[in-house]
Amino acid sequence: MDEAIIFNSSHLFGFFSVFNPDAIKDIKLYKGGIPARYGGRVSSVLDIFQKEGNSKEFHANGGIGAVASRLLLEGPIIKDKAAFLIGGRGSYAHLFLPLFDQDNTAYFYDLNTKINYNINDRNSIFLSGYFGRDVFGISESFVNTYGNALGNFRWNHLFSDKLFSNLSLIYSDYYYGLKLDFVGFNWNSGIQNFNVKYDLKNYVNDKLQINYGINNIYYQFNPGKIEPSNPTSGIVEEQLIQKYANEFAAYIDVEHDISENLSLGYGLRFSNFIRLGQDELNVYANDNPVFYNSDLKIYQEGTPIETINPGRKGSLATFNNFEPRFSLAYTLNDNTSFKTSYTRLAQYLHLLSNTSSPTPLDVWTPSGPFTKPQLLDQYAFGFFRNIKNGEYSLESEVFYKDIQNRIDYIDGANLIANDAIEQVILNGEARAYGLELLLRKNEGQFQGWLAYTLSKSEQRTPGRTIEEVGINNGAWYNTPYDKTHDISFYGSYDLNEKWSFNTNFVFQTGQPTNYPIGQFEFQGLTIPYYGLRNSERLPAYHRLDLSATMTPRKNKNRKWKAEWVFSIYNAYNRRNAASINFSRNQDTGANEAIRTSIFGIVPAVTYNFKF
Amino acid sequence: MRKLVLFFLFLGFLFGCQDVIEVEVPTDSPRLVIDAVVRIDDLEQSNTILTVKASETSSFFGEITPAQLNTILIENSASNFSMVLVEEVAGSGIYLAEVPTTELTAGPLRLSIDYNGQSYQAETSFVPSVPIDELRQGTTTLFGDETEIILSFTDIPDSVDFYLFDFDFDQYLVSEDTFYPGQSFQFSYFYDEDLEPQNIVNVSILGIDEQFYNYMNQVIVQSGGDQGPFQTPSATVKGNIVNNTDPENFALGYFAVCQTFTESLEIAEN
Repeated sequence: MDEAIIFNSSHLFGFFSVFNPDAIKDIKLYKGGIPARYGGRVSSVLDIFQKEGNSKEFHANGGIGAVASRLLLEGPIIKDKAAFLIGGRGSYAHLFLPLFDQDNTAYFYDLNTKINYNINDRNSIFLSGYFGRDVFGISESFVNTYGNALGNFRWNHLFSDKLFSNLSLIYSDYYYGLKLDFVGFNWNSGIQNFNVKYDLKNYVNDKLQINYGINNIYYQFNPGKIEPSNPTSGIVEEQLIQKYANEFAAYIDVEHDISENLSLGYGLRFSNFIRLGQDELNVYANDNPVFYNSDLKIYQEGTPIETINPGRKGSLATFNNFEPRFSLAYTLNDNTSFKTSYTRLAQYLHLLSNTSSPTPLDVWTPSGPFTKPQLLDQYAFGFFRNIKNGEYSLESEVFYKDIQNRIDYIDGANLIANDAIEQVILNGEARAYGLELLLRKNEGQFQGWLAYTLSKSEQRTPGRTIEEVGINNGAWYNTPYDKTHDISFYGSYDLNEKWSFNTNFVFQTGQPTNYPIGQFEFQGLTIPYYGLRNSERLPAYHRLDLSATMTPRKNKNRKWKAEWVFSIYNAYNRRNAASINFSRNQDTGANEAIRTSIFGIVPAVTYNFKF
Repeated sequence: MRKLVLFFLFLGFLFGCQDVIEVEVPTDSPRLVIDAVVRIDDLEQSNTILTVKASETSSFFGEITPAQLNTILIENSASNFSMVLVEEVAGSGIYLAEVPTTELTAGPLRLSIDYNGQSYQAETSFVPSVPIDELRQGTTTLFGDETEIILSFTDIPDSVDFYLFDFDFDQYLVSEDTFYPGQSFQFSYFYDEDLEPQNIVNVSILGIDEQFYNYMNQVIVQSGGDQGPFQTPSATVKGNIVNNTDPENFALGYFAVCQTFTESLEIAEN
């Protein structure tokens, strides 16, 4: 967002996006054919820019709702020269825990700000910020807080009407904290990064545009710091070893119209990632941090032969990658076009997601001495057609992705507060392929779209030697993101000036997971045991949301404009499973499959206003 | 520095609604399960009774049945001691032997099992523990109806130590001393509302090694008594019982010998 990296993009387990729609100017989603100015992400890029304040007059808009409320103010600081925008949102504390004692809380808030100043025709500067937090607590004993914060200073300069430049200085951080008073400690972790970007856009002529630039990101990873939460705690303060890295990139990216029908995009990105020195580093026999127990045929955490202090000055590992990009679009006629693309991307930060838990503690680990960067090769071919003079449009795309160095954790790995994550991860590969279809209705009282994706996403982590079994016996298995079918429908209907209606429906194949293949008893415990990884699935996820908006007719000639939005989230109260746990019921002694679902039906009324 | 597992409590049910649903589960063929955790309360006692429970896995919603072993033998390879375990009641799957305590507390120990024509082995050695300094009832609650108990103990100095806490009623926790090395450490444990006044709880602290710690950590999580809000991904939990005849047909369970200290507490009205 505003060029900064966001590590967690939702509030309240996905109920709200962290991006406040009132404060957003522009969203671009790149899936295939990602231009060379973007890098560092092998999945897709969501490029979001915050709105600038209105430099002519003061405006406000907001909403008072049953779930959350919001307010956004914007206006000139110096008329036609400088403007501000400030927006905030918050939800109410006890909303989602009505069954529990009122000492317990769950809420979020966020704040967007932006100041822009047009110094003259050739120079303008922008200052933007975002701060958001989610807070969950049980009495005073357990409090969990997490969120993103970012700040960006941008300077736009026009060298001429053909050459634009943009300089950005960006700071962003992701924070995750826990307070566990009944055990006597506080826990803080996070990722900070400082990013400097300089981008130039050169409009050579109306057929040729060249973009080029450089970018440098410095990362600091804090895997966790533990400290006593009260004076009687026996906990000794401890900082897990912080990790540091620097990512540099330079790119050139050309948008070239060869003829009226044919346009090309081509570019090259060079990226360099240096894993910087840190205070302690484990050294393993044969550089092998994961031990294979050939008797039990399992992987275990290796034992370091020594721990050295490489110091903060040197580097532990360096990676260089050239990432070519190519795309071609061919327009057959006014209604039909084709496009095809090839993308190579390198991603230097690895996400170890913990699929069996809905909590947002994702573990990010930088590439380094034991973990190579992920390399993506992606091929896509698309077809676009307008139907009935553009009343409808159909987009389709097929894609194939191949990812090298996709890591996965060994069976029974501890990912949390693990100071030697290299001991629990193995290197593998991933691939994904599929078909995407999107049908839109662009005109009329009724508008909307229907999207369908058929895809497969899988990975493989073979043994490192012939003797080793690898993860899942070395066979391909579903990634946590695999969704065979993904259908979404959005429709809006304007009945008249007073009433409009919206509906949203999603259906997704259930997320891959493990079901027990058996059970055993040990020390009085009943323990389910599991077979191959991600071989089963949660039940399908589907949900229908409805809303009706009433705009009073008397609005027309007033400055104060208001509307009422009546909405129902999850209208038929589908209990979508966030996870299924298998355990013995302590009261009945019978084994059970227990579904955890986060949101049932949520009806809400919101009063929106603007002036 | 090593990873730690924190004393999280069962918070899994916190942020959502839970209900029981019907799920069809796949079924693996039965495997041998060996439950051989030997607790030694008193090192001075001349003999310790070794109890091993043998059973077979079943499908998740099926019935667990005892396993009939052909032979089961305990050996101490340092002293060349060995003794055969005898089934307590025919068909029970519970095998016993009365072993001199000194044979269990020094030297490498091996359990050898012959079952269904296949030979299994497990190796372990004795791990010391520390006494519970204090066990008392507290008054804090999380949701209003739990019973808090506060346990304190003093970690063994100058070594990396792992402990298993048995809170009775099949409730366990594991801990390692990374963040309290050699310190006196105190923490709270919460029993659910089923615990009544006048109930007696027996709380034990067992000395365990790192491998058994990792095993128990996974077993506790997978049995549903969450170790915290961040469950480790589910996976087959393999213990230290090796099938020498057919490694693919591995057994489940564990063989461990642990010094154990136990304290009791009568729950009072709060």
